Amino acid sequence: MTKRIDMTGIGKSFFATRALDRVDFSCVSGEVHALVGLNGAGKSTLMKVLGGVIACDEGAITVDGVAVRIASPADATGLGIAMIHQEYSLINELTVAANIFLGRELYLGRTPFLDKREMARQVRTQLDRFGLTLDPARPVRELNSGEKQIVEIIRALMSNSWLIVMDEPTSALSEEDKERLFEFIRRMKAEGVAIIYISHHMPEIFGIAEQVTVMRDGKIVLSERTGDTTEAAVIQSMTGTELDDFVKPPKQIQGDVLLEVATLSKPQHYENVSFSLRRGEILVLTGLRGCGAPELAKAIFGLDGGYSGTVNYRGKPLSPGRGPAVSVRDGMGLVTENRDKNGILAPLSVRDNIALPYLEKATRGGLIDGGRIDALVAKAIRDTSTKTASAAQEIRFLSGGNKQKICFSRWLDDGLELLILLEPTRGIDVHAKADIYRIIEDLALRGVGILVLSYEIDEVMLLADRVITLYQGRSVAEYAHPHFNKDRMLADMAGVGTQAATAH
Amino acid sequence: MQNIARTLQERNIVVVTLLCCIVFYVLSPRFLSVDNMSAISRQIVPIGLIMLGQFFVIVSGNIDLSLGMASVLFAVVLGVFFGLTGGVGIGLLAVIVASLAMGFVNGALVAKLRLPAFIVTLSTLFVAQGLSGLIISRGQQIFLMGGFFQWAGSEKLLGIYLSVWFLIALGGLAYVVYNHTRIGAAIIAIGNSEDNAKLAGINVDRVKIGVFMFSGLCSGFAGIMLSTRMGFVQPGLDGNGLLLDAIAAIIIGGTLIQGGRGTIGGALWGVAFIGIINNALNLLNVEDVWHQVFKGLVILAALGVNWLLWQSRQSEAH
Repeated sequence: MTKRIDMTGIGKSFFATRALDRVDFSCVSGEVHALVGLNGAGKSTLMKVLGGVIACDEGAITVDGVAVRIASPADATGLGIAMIHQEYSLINELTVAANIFLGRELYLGRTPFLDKREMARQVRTQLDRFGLTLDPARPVRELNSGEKQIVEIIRALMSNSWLIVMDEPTSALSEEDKERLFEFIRRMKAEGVAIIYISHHMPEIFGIAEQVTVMRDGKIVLSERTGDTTEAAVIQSMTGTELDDFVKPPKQIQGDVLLEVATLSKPQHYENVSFSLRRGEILVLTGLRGCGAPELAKAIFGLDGGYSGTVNYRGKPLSPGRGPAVSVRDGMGLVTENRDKNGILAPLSVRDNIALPYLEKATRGGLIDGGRIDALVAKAIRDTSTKTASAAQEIRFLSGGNKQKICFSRWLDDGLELLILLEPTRGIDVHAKADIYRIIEDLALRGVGILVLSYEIDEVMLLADRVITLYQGRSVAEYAHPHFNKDRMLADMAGVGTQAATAH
Repeated sequence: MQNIARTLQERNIVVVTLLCCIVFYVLSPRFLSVDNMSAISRQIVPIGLIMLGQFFVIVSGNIDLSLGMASVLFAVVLGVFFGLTGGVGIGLLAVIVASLAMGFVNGALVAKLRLPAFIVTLSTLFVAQGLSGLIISRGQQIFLMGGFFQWAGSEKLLGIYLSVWFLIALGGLAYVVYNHTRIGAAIIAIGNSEDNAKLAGINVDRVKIGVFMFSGLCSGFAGIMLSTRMGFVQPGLDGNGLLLDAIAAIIIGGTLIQGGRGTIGGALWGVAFIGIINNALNLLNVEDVWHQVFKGLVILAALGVNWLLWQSRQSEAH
């Protein structure tokens, strides 16, 4: 018996932004429906509507032709819709079976005691049904990412889900685990499960999906059977061809080579990557999540030593894993992708956060010169156009963009030679983005070499002097300003033309 | 190093305890006498009861510092009721009600108001200490004579004190609840990740309050056992010493102080271990100050192992 879900005329606005513009989207049991689009295209908003996380302004959802209301995540679960997120919602210290039955355990008859044997048996039956092997009595902490994902999916299936939404499911998986996941998906299809598969990996999409839908600017721009379209057509509709891409004005880079990376490899993360960076240049590494670029950047900063290959900085080789303190002393800076966790000190004031790197400079005879700190802080706030009520304001009350500016302000010092930026504008509004780009350009003009990791193609186009695209840890191609071709870059990142043995 | 850590955790607290027994036996043959073993078993009952309450609190990711002084307070409460009325039943009932109420207050403040358990239970520790001094002043003692106290304090069944049987029974109950009911799974889930536990439909607040009420009740039981063992009560008893011994026993037994993992069996062995150390150091006439230094070093070693375990878990998770 096939089931289907239809979303029709779904609209959603956030203030002035039209996030979803009368979107029609359907999914049928026994099929994989791939959903594709750049960041901000509306994919996640659409899935949040489906999952009951946000309410839509207009439109209707029907299951098998019957109108339904999805006002909360519990409603979605009740209708058999399950979301598998990249961050797993499992309990590490419980066993596979205990996780799957958590919150709806089985009992021995009418006693309050758990029927562990029956729970394990049911889990094993499910695993067998999909040709998977996994011991139900193993604690989840011993499982790898792929196995945890399987547990999540089995848990969803065993609570009567028939529609599974998977968000970039392969980004953290090894080749072997990917192969197993695809086999699992094929079996689920055969068992009548419907799957919405969010991904940018073209070989995967064309390997397992029946239908592919592309979103751009809150609209559906393409929806075809995968047999009736091509990888190139999908890529092209993601970017849209009618818009002229903005390219920044040309600039001369005369600085000498600051950083030289040669045949850098770390198994499972990146392989044989080489590039160089000159003083005053902005080099952007880009790819999909899981492309290995953040690990690469952290290796250069000395946070991680388990690699082969060489990194030359200022003409001298760097020792692997020497720690950030040495890197900072040698004129390197890093702005992490997770500013709330690794960037700011939340309980402290704006002033104290900015002052951190200046403390040494402002110390006279063992005591901190408060007046001098105040002057430095005021200058940093001005230079970064940080918007804060006062320097005494606690930093946690600032917006994401302003927190990020403060993370930048740590590195505005004269001693900086190389700045590494991981997703510098993640979760930041348009205005703050413009300020951040200006700060980066100013630093480059001062002769600082800048290495950026970005997942957003528009940011790459806007910021870079040179771009290297990565796919699954290997560099695909290099582009120099102004010869940026958005479609080509996206195709590189999505693995177009790569023979993915896994997806056939 | 991680191998050592894993081996120690995997029930090897048993081996360590038995090794200590051999060493103490060599140093003082009296150590293994039936009388001495019997004495140890009776001495560890209050620590063991507090441990059972504390165990669930720690696995759920919290801490209850009030348990030790609360048990002294409840011993005093029992004594006062007995002194005033001469009846035991009403005293026991008062202790059970008061200890559940205290646990409820701790749990509600932690779960509903989201206050840190450390601060909440530190405050109730002081309140309990103050109250026990208020009810009967320092230096004063209430003697507990008569049938029940005599019976509960010194009667044996199959050669084992009744109070020890009580600890065994409550320990068995705790074991079953922890390993074979959904309550145990819920407590582990909360200690690992409150958010994920909530996602699985667990009523996190209710479980937390329940855990604190059980720990409160355990301190009530510990108070009763303290009073029956000694035959008198006074407010100056070292309740915090009991609490620290119980926490040490839990950690030595391989429970993660960060919460989310632990075994009741390990913690019970930890209690036996602490009891044996306390007893042997007395038996060997070790000076009080050195007694504490030695115990401190043992706990530090256990904490080190605990830390290694945690490290290995972090790297596994990667």
